[in-house]
This record gives sequence, structure tokens and C-alpha cells, in this order.
Amino acid sequence: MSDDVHHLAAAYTLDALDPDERAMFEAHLDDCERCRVEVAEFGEVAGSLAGAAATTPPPAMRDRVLAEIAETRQDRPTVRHLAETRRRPRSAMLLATAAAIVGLIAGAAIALVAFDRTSDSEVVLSAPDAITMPLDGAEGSVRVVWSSELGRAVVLGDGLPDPGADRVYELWSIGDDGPVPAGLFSPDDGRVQTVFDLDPNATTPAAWGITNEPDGGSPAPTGDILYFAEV
Amino acid sequence: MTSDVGRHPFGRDTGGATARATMDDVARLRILRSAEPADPRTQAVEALHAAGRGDEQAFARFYDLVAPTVFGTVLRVVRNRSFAEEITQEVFVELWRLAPRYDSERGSPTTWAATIAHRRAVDRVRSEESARARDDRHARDVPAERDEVAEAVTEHAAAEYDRARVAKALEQLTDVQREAVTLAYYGGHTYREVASLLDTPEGTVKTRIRDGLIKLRDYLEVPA
Ligand SMILES: [Zn+2]
Repeated sequence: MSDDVHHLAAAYTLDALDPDERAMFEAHLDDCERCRVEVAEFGEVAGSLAGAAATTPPPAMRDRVLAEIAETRQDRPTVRHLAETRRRPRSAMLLATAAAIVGLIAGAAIALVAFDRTSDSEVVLSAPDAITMPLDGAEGSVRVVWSSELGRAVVLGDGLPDPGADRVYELWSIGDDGPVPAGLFSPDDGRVQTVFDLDPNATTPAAWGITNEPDGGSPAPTGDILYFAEV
Repeated sequence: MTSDVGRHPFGRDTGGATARATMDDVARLRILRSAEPADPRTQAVEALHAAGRGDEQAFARFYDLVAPTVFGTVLRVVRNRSFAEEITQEVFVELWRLAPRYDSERGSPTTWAATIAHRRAVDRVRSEESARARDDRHARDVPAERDEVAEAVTEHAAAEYDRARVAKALEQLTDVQREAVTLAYYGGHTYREVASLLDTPEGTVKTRIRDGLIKLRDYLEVPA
């Protein structure tokens, strides 16, 4: 029997076990490294079999899927998952302690809650933990007001030059993983007051920067940092 | 206000020099963050990680990369277009829900999506088993041979490559191994069902499936 169990990895990977056997084998997987490795390898084989069956779905399905996911709340990442995805980009330091991981979870959870609210910039400005950062720059004045508890930031500006035709300003939250896009804005007659949801998985910003980018923004800065402040 | 924009915002290794971030820095940064044109798997990983942070546009990119595989797999198993569309929709909502938990060290995004899609299709079919008279002839076809459900097979080059590669890999199997593997995976049958369909002992079918997958794994050179 015990040797038999190991031999179920192939059938399990093809979803070819009865419900009872599947449950039994999944329990076994928790304790058996050898079977976990086999399931991962056979899983890639199954992925290839799946790829070979590729068939173009009806075009209308895309919109239906995107409409439905817009209304669907995501599961929270697991602690292990967060630790792993954070470690890979660069900073192991930040995650060196369990306390840091717990902090990330708490931050992410709070930010997810904040996503559900229709909060405006006033809420951020009056948040108990709000931090105001004046940014250094050539022309006009810009401040970023940011609440890590709400997971939101507000950009307040005055006297800003027009970004140009088909150009926008892009705000970057700059942490251990480098600059992460925080949002796009265009001043109206030099003035701006815009609220942004911050990426809940981004590291705590060590600095804020603003660049001038093509319409639609960029995934990474393409120009000089025009306004900048370290936290 | 104008004088001291000065600190280097990105460079940890420039010793806090006086220059502002320049295009060179950005280029260097891009190499670091590998934002340059990526292979499909890397693109899918990046899209899925961003989707896992709630980015719906990134999820749309992920959809474009994996939807043919998901839909094709489900269609293979359920053999009915409108049922396959319904299940595919459910699968993508589940993928969105689970995206924050995707771990790229456990497999490619395509494999991850295919695993969830196949499981869902098989479970739905089995739960409706009695309501459906299933025709098992199609399940025995190797995927390179198009049957009526595969008539809309995608023209995507990567899919064509996959199909050729898998067809070649399946050729390495004995006839009975190939039959057992395809009846199980594309037919969505349990090994017990396969045994009864082929009038063969269950233990023999289990062994054929296992030996077949080992050969496929070795031929496809799946990294350990
Ligand atoms: Zn085992």
C-alpha cells in the first residue's frame, strides 16, 4: 500500500483519481517530498499537453471575463508567498525577520480594505498617520501627502508647467525594489490635487519622485526625475 | 528650491553622487528590473504578478497569453462549446481570485492555469456525468489530429510549436501508454474508468499512465 501511494502521482496530476483517492493522495503529498517533486514535473508535462490543445476562445469572452473579475475580490497572498515574491526581486534584508513579514501582511490587508472605499483626497489629508513631503523641483511646488494605513497618496501642486502635448506627469514611489508607478496626473492651469491608490505589495517608499512621461505613463521612468524628496 | 534636486534617487551604488537620475540610470535600472522585451513565459509571470496585486489590465494581458490553452483544454475535456465557454469563464474568475497566491517557483503561469482549468473541467463533467452521454471516441485522438471539437484550433505560432513538440513526444510512447494517457487527460477519465473502457486491469492502466508520463517528462526535458 505505501509503495502504491507513491505511484499515484502520475494519475493525480492528470486528475485521474477518484475523489477519495485524490483526498488521500493530497494528504500524502504534505509528507512526501518525492511525490511533490513528481507532481511538479508531471504538472509541466500536463501543461504541455494542455498547450497542445490550445484553441482560440470566442472574442466576446475576454470582455465577459474582465467585467466579472472587476467585481471579484481576490484572495489574500499567503505569508509564505509574500516572503518568496518579495525576496526574489532584491531585498532579503527587509524580510529577514518574522516581524517584517507580519508588517507587510498587515499593510497589504489594510490597503485592500482601503481599495473598497470611495475615499477622496480629504480623507488622506486628514488621516492620523498622514505624512507630508514637499518635493524639490525646478518650477512650482509639489507635495505628496501619504497615508500608509489607507494605502493612498495625494499629490498637491501649484505653478506646475504643462507637461506638453501627449505627455503626463508620473508619480513614483521609490523603495527597495526601485521606482514603482504610483499614478499619473496632468495639472489644470498649473494646479493639481489627485489621490492615488498605492500598490499594496510595493515596499515602503524611501523616496518620492515625479517624471514627465508619454501619455498613458511608463512602467519605469524614461526621463529625469523632475521633483524628488526622500522620506 | 532649484539648487538641490541633487540626491540620486535610484542608485544605491553611486555613493550618493550629485547627478540627477538620467537616461543611463534608467537604462541600468531596466536591466536590473528586466523590463526589456521578455519571452512569453517571463511576460506571463510579470503579468500574473501584477494581476496578483489587483492590476486588471495586467490580468487582461495574462488572459491573452493563456486563454487559448485554458479554453482548448476545457473544450477537449467537456466536448461541448457552450459548456466549455461557461467553464472557461469560471476558471478565469478563479485565476483572478488566486493570482495573489501564484508562486512562479512552482511552475509556469500556463501550467498553473492549465492545472486549474483541467481540474475544474473534469470535476464539472463528472458531476454532470449522468446527464451527459459522453462519446469517448474523440478522447483517443492525439491532439495533432484535429477532430470536430478542435476545428477552431488556434493559429498561434507558439501553440503550433507546442502541438508539434507534444505530438512528437507522444510518439515515444507505446500505443497502450498513449491511449491511457490521452483517455485520462483529454478524455477527463479516472484511471478506473479508463480500465473499464479498455477492459484492462486497473493496476495495468495505472502503470501505463505512470510509465507514459515518465517518458513524456524525459522527452520534453522538464527540468527537475
Ligand atoms: Zn510519495
